[in-house]
Amino acid sequence: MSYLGKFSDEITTMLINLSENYLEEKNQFNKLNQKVSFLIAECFQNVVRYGVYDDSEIQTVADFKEFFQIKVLENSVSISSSNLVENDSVKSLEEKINLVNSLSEEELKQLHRSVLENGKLSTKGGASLGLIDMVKKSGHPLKNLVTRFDDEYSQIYIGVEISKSKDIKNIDISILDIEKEYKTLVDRNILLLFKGDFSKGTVSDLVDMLNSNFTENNKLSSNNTKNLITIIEIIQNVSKHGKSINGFNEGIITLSNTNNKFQVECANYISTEKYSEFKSFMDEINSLSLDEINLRYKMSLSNPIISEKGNCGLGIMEIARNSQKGYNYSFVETSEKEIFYSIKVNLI
Amino acid sequence: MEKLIIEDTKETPYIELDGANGIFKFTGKSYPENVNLIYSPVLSYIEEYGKNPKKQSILEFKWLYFNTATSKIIASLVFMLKAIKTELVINWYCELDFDTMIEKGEEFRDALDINLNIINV
Repeated sequence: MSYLGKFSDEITTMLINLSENYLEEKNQFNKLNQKVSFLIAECFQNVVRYGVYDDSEIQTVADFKEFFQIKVLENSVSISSSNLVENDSVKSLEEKINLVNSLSEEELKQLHRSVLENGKLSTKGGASLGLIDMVKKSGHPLKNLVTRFDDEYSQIYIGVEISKSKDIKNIDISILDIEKEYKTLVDRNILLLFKGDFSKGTVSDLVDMLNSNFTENNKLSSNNTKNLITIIEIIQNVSKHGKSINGFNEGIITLSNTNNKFQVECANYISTEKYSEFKSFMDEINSLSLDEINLRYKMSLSNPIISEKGNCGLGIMEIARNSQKGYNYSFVETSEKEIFYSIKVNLI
Repeated sequence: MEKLIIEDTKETPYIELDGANGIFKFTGKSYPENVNLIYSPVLSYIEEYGKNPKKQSILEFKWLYFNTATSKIIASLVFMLKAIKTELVINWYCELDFDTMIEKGEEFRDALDINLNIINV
């Protein structure tokens, strides 16, 4: 999962919830859960501590998006973040990172103790404790990369990986890979990318995250409420029609913003038994005008029968009318005879 | 009939069912994936209430937003209360300029052929 945008304590909490839910369901990572939550929080606190946050400075870096990413890999969990730092602070930050990376476990413990006892607090509130803890908890060195942003600021990427077993010494993702992914997301105007299980708690955590992207002055506007409903229907459609593999309804969803317009794209494999019925229904709704869809919607609403999972196709109709039919979809058969469904919706 | 109160969660609303006074309130968000699971105690309560209803029954909705599966539950509640011998009042509270929820209320009014009062708050 990748997130680019506003960073706050609220977002940190939501990302931790989302990651915890995800890891809980992937049983083999359950034991890492607490450590992962800690590392996420630390990554964020680094963003806040070293990030450029004063209101007066925001304008100069308006086109910069801060970044957070968590990836659950086969043998490890990778957590990374990126933010701007003042050029003057780069050297000291890099020195701190190099120092913690060069120390043994015992030396790290000693440094931790000595910082606690005598540590100087930086102007943004933290000593190197966060960095020391990140290396201690993860058991791997911190990955970092600094690139020049402009005359005043540099962009720093920090990554940390935590493996399933202490014996695993290799890391799976390089900091250059993380930089590459960040650039791809920025080029595609993506604010949020989630790939994973769409069932259980994930939906509400995702909705929370999106809600915070749509909320202005603590208020959700009428149109953004409509957008949120659209997204809920898109996500719940994945678990309704999605192909369940080992009990997971895997899917991918992105939220992007181009020219101040939000788009949501969602894709997943669908079960072959449901394919034909689902495709016919999508095609049928797509062939109707907005007025016809509204009429059909009302007819379904007045039908007292509730289907096993609830909504008699209302979800698809809701997506169609809320976006003013600003959507397209496709079904692709893969070489393994799987059906891959994707939908792209322009929000209002 | 004892009150049934179901506290809200991230995905489900605060629900207060007061059969003794014939007042049934739903407040907040509702987008659970499996609505039947969450709302089955509500529907059972209304079914029980139907055996000895008050002269007037009031359904009160103060929604932030809800999914289409919840729409079907709202419709079911209305069907159940329409089928019993009671004067049904439906109050749909929403903010003055909150068109999305006002439209939803109007749609229920048309689709279910009911008197639904849209009340600005």
